[in-house]
Amino acid sequence: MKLRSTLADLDRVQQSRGFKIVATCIALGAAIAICIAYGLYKSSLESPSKVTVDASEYQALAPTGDEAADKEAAAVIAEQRSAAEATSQIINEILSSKQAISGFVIGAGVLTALALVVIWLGLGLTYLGLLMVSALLAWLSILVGRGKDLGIASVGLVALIAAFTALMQMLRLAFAGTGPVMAIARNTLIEAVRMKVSLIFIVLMVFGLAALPLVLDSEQPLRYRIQSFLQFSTAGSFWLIALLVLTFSVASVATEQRDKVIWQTMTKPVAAWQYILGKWLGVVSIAAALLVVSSSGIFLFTEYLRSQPAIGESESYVSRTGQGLTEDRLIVETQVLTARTTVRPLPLALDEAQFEKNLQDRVESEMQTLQQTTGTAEELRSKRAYLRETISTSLRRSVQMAYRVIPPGQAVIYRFEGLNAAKASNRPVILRFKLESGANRPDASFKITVQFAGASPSVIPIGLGQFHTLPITPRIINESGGADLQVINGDISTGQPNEGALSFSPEGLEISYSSGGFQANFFRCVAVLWVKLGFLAMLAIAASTFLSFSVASLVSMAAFLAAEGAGFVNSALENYWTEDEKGNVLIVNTITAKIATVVGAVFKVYADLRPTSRLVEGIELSLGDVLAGTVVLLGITGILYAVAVFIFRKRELAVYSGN
Amino acid sequence: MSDPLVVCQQVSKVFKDFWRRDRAKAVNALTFDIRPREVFGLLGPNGSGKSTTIKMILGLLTPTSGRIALFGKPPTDVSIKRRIGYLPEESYMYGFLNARETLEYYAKLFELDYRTRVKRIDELLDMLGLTNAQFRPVREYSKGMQRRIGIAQALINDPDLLILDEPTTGLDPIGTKQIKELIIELGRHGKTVLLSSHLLADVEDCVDRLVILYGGQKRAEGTCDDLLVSQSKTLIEADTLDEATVAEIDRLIRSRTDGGITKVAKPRQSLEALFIDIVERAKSEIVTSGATAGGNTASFLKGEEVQGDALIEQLVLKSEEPVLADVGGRAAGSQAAVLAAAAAAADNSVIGDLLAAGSNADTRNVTSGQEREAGRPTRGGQTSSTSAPPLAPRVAPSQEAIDNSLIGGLMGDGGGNQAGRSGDQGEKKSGPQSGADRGGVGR
Repeated sequence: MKLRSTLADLDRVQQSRGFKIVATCIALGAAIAICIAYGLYKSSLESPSKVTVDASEYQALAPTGDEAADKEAAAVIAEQRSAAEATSQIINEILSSKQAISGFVIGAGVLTALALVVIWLGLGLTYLGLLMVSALLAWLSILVGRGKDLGIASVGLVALIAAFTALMQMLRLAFAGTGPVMAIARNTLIEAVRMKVSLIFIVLMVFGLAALPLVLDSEQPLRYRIQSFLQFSTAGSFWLIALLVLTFSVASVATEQRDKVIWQTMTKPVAAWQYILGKWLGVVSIAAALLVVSSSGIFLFTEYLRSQPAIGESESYVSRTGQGLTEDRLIVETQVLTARTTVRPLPLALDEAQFEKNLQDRVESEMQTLQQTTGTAEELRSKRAYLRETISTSLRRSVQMAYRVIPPGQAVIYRFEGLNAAKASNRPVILRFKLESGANRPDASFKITVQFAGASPSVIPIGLGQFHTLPITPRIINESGGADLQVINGDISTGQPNEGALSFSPEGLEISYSSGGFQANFFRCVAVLWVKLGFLAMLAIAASTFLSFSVASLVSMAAFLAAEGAGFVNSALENYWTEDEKGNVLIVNTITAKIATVVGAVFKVYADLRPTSRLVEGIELSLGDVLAGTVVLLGITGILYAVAVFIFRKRELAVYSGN
Repeated sequence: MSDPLVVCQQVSKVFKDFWRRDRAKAVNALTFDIRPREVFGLLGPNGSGKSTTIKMILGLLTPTSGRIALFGKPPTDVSIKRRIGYLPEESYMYGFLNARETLEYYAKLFELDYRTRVKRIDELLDMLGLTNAQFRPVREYSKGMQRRIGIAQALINDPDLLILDEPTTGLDPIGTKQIKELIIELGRHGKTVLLSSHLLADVEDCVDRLVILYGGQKRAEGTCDDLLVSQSKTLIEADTLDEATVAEIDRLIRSRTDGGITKVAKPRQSLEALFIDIVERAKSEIVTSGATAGGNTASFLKGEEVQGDALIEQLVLKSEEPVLADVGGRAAGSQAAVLAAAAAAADNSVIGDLLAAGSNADTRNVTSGQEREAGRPTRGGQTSSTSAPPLAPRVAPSQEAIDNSLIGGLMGDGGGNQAGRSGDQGEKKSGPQSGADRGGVGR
């Protein structure tokens, strides 16, 4: 009884306006103080020594008397010095950014915002007690030898649950107004939290996120740990939230119709468009709350991982050799936790006249092979047109595939355009490539030679099937923003070719340059994920206006899987043959290709955004891409909304056809 | 006469299967209308088309043919829904909400402001005896409690047209009695009520006019008196008579008419009355965890939500304007509520006069032409012009006085009412029995 009365007293205190004001001031003050203290601490740290290029290592060689050779040697030395300076510049920028506290400030800001929400919801003391309990549990877990990871997981779990609960309370207040749309949205929020099926998804997501750090292998390079965490946490969260959105949207609308609960809503002054809109707003709000919670956790833990020592470091950003940065750290900072713009090589420019001649010859050859020389003129013309189209598509595809293959000892030149921004920034760019061979034997070693126009060649030992990076000076970019790259299958210095042909996959060769920071890119990616979830929610609601729960669930899931797989489908179609070796049409393959083409086209915009993979690979999702994608997806969502309203208005709600 | 509130003209509904083939004709060329401020009954056995008709009126179904108009507009018009309250045959509620949240939700659909919402929710919960259980999820409620919350949501917007589909289903006799009283009171205060039921006794006490359906078609239409009163018999109640007296009365009747006494029986108290009596006595002793007995009718339903100038205006109006008692109906006009109260007062004075009209006011209660059951709640009442004394204009009493006199009559706290109740139950038949007697009412 005494405990109960004490708790009641505490509850009264935390509900009082005075307490809320005081707690707000304390929270803001503490946040500012912590940020300032952290900034002072950072600035008090000894600035990392800048990496400089030792000029003595790049002195000109003694003249040999051969002017041309001397000139070439001097150019090579200058090029090597330039490359070294480019690398040093990148390292120095990274070391400088280590002094920056922007990531910490953002994290502190997010936590402070959540704290303020909790305080003004009248839960300040409750949540403070909750966090103290979780901290105690974490400390105990460390004491009993379970390691700090378990402690972090425990604290993270409690924090995620607390944050979600506070956000849901806030949303309920936001939708507290009168009117059908607000009332239905609020009711949907309450239903989501009180329905067991949605609670399962929420618990899975929260527990999964909290437990994910425990499965990271600390022996792995830091870049792999970060990428693994980003991949599994972002993709896993999105999939769980998406499944929740689909399931709950269908359940909420379809079961209301099945159980006739909807009668008592739609016999009130509620229009069909208000009902659908209210349901959708409720669902996207839940999705937003879950995304905020999960993305906050992901962001904070990623920054925590960034602060961990990389392979070869004694402490974060401090190499054991005492010089510069380790390769692991360099990759983390320049390729993973960044936002890069990538430029891929142009396709091979065909001699159209020659291509046309070859095409014509092939068509006639096919006509002869198929003995299609007799028939009416119209039939022959039709057959020729069909063959021409299919052979042309096939030939072009084959040519581009062949363009990416480099026979042993041979060289291929690849052209890049659109690097004007990189040249203007005068910052180093990254050449990134992945090569495959026929068998991808892990025991075989390969060497290739890469050379940009106007630069000296570089011999690089490579492993097959994995990405390699090479920082290069922006001086390889010409005035028009282009760059030419020659790739030789072999070691030019020894003249030794590799054993087999090497090939690039369609996305296996690119030049990338930094065009933004990880934080902003992260938030843009999360925004795109939310827009996708909004689309999925409307898809599920529209399906459930006229389908039963089970059928609507199936349709929604199928559409979701098709949307998620559209990117893979589009790229797989490039290598998908609808004819056999003899040129006979394969009917099943043809039908499959037609369906896949339609699916890929319908969901192309959805698939091309790829927020998760861009985040994992450190590729920028620009504001323009976000806006364009949002406009298209919102437009499709609007069309689905109109369809749902139209169907719902025509429905006889007292006749249920979904048992 | 004002325009009908609800008009159904040649309405038919044919349900089709997936292949658009006709499967069942639920309603067939149904025509009726509902006038403002009347309690209208829609009767019929299961499967007669009552609920289908109601759903078409509400826009939950589309008529296959015919025309339906509510307040002069089609049922699909969203704006008219503001004036309608609907209680379906089962209470389909959100199980995860508690009673207060449920009413809050529906109140917001009507865009009621915060104060109005809170006030009405409190009053409705109190009226329906759900105050103690208001924070429990609705899925934990008993059927009766769910029915009560269903009634509450139907009343939250103080509707002009209240549509009740089997409102007493799942309610105990106390609750049934309360609902019937509520319906009568709502009717008295200018609401229009459409009541659908197959519990005939419940309907008989409440409605002004009714329609009887069977097989989706109208079989009968009219007032209770038009349909139920037997013009060929006379019922007399008296204290216990010995056989000799009965024989003498029989001889007297035979001397004046062609027939004689056809039936002599002892009256008995109904099980409903006994039940109510026992529960009323017990409720003061035991507190239950479920629904409690309801409180007074919510003030907004009685039109008592007046403040400030409006209140003064009403009081002034009551004191200045003479009220004409309209035997046949209810006075129309802008002071409908006040005049309705006056009519009720006039009715009560008639009842009192009738009770006092015999040589022994406590022992005799004579009816002619129609059964007058003083112990049961009745509609405003239509007295026969041949038996009732002319009514003098009276000043309308306060609403509280009317309620108190009604309640007093119901609770049997007057000697005349007590005798009247015991007297009228001699010939009282329950609904099913009546149906069986008539032989034509199915289940």
